[in-house]
Amino acid sequence: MDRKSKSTIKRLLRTLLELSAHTIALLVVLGLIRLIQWAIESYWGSQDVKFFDRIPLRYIVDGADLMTLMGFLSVGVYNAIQAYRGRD
Amino acid sequence: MSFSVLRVTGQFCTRLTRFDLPKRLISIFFFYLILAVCGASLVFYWYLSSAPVLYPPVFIPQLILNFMSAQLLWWGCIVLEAVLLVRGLRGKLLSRYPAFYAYILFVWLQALVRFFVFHASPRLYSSTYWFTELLGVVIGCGVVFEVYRVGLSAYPGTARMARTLLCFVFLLALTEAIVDSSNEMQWRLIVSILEIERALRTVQALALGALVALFRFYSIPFGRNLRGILLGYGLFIGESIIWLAFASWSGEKFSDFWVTFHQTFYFGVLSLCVTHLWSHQPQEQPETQVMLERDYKRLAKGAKTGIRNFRHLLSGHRSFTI
Repeated sequence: MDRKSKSTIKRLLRTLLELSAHTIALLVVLGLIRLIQWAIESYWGSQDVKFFDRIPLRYIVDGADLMTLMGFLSVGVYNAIQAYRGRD
Repeated sequence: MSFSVLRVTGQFCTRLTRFDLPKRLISIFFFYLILAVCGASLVFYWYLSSAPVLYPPVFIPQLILNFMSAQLLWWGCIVLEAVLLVRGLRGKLLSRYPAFYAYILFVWLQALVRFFVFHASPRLYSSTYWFTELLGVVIGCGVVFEVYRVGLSAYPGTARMARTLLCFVFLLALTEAIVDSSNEMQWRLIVSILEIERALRTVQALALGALVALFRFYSIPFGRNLRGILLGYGLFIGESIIWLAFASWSGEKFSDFWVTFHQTFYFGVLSLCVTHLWSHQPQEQPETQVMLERDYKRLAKGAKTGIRNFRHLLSGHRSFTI
């Protein structure tokens, strides 16, 4: 195997690692959010939890989910591209 | 069992690709955690601040958040500008980037002067606002010149050409804006200042974009300090251009939203500048030989030859006619 192919494989592997690191971290954070939601709902004893009788818990959870996913789509993809473009 | 498999895989990957998986995983995890907290806080804040009725459980957090959005951000920006100036002074960055720090000092003083005039003599506020606005735009042009001066310091020929071109383009934009605003039925100071600001900010954005493209093309790295100035000032003028483009026909609701957005955005931009300009970082050297100066010399030589040929042609033509 020549040097160029080796370098490409290494960079591909690094990109895969970067992406998998992002995916694992994302899944853990999303899981944590679900866990907190489940804990609050269990404590409250209802599915329709509202803080101060006004702010639904579901919306707060959705906000956290959305921000995390946006982070994954922007920073995660950017980091993966950077990992591929970087020198081995 | 699974943990040891993970560890062995991690070690293998680290050795093969020099990629520290566990360390990276932890930093990414905290990054997503912060994002999630920010997302949840944003929704919380949005609901709370748009609540139509204030009643005891909501009142105190709502009061704090409203105060935060209106006052704390404004004062926070002033504090960050002061921090930037102090760090510039202590890190000896003032002498390296005098135009940028003059701009920050100007913006810092401008906010305080406007605040003072607003409370001491509200009648003078409008004229003070527009005069300082115009002055800010003119000083901002100096920042663009400085970015070019520092960025192209290793390439004197290219820097000279860029400086001349920038001078020409700024003058052209200024003249165009003045002529445009004077063509209106009634000469109004505010309209002309807005026109000038829009024209100069657009030229500044284009000039910075051209420099970034040039550096990307020749793979020249920006130093950390210069990157901070470029990012901070670039984002700031980008936001200004969007606002200036919509300012003339946007409604009151959009203006209210933009004022809050501007404060938050400006706070973020200043935080970015503070982190990049905390201390002096030497300019990075490009890993490969840069052909920029060689290309410039070739271009200059070509232009000189062209002019010489043209002169010859003219003189020949003259002698022919005489």
